[in-house]
Amino acid sequence: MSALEDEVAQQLRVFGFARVPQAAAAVIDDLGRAFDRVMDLPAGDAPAERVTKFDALTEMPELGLIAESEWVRAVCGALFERKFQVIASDANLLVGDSYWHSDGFYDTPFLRFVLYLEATTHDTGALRFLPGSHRADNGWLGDPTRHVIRHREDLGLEGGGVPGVVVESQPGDVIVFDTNVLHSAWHGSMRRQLAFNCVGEPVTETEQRDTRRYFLNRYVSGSVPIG
Amino acid sequence: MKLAPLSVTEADVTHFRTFGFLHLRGVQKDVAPQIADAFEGVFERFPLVGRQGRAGVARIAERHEVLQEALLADGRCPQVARQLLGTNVAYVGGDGVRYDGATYWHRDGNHRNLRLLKIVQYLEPLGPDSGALRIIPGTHRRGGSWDTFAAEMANPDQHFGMKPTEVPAFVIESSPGDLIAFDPHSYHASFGGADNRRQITTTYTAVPESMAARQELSDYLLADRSVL
Repeated sequence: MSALEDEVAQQLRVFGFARVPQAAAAVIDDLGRAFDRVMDLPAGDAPAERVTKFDALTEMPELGLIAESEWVRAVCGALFERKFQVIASDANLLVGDSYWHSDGFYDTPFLRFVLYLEATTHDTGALRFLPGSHRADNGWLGDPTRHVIRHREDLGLEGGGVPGVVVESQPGDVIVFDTNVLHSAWHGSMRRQLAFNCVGEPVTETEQRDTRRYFLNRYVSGSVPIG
Repeated sequence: MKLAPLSVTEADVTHFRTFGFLHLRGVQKDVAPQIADAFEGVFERFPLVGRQGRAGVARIAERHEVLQEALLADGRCPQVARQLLGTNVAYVGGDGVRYDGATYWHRDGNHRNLRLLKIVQYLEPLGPDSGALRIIPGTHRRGGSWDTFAAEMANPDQHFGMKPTEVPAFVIESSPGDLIAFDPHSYHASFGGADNRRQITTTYTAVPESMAARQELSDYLLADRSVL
């Protein structure tokens, strides 16, 4: 494992997220074409809501090149310290804001690797995070998380005013995060996102239970139209 | 000088307890020029202590009438401190400082029981590249894994492959007349500041209720912070 992957794993342990600049640069154009092929949206028809295509990896070998790359293996190996598997993948046409949330506070760590096909900035839907909120021992569970989610009522702030860390990205960058971490995106118009999620091979009963729940939660959602 | 009492809302208190800091924008705006004059007056009259990059006057707020009135009067910072800490408080000092350059990632002390509140104001406008205070939200809470990452935070280049400026944090851009109240147990830093940035700090403690907190307060008061 190179120093880079070790450093990314350490950022994930401490902050819960990391940006790997231009890690997908070599295939970004192919990914753009593959996205359009797989989503197959009617020309000129801008959707009003997010559109998601699950199991993107089965139809996008281009995304598989990233998921199976040496550096992804090395980051997962360093973080999970065991064999790992890709548990989910998706292509998303995102529209508007994504509210402050965690993908569930699991005892078992899950990583999500995300690529945007457009540049994302503070004012155009970049991901933002609360550093360290992925770790239960940092005291975010309970009231602090409730206040973040209810930011308007409890803090008198719009979602974009919550003091998170904005991770801006360029096409070709990969953002990876522990899905426990509190995250959101604000001020975005339409943007194309590709992602896959990984978990260490579940061994204990808790890990097996968490992995089953996580898998179901990613696919069973009343709020995400399935493309 | 006529000043309205300073007060914070319930949402402000929730913000402080959730993230470890609160930015009170413009609350000293009307008296910002007088405060800057008072700062200069004190620096002319009192001997400076400190180290390279940090020259200051201890307990500056007590040394000038304007500062006493704007900061230490009962309805001003002490009231904010009582509201944010949710208990009786005691003023434990502070300083006026001219900074050169950066202050790296740190916590003030490593108190497990003592709860401090720093209320700071900068006399220059400060942004991300000009020395604004930056804080990692939520790191004020005790007992979490942040307590085990001191080595990483002290040397982010080695552990994360990041420059200290790249450590993910929230930058509190401020203007003269703003106050920033924060728990100094939060990881905080500032980078890119011009020379002679002027800062005034007043510090409050929650009146300690446990023996452990009293001991930490005693250690804090006895420490020579003139060289910190």
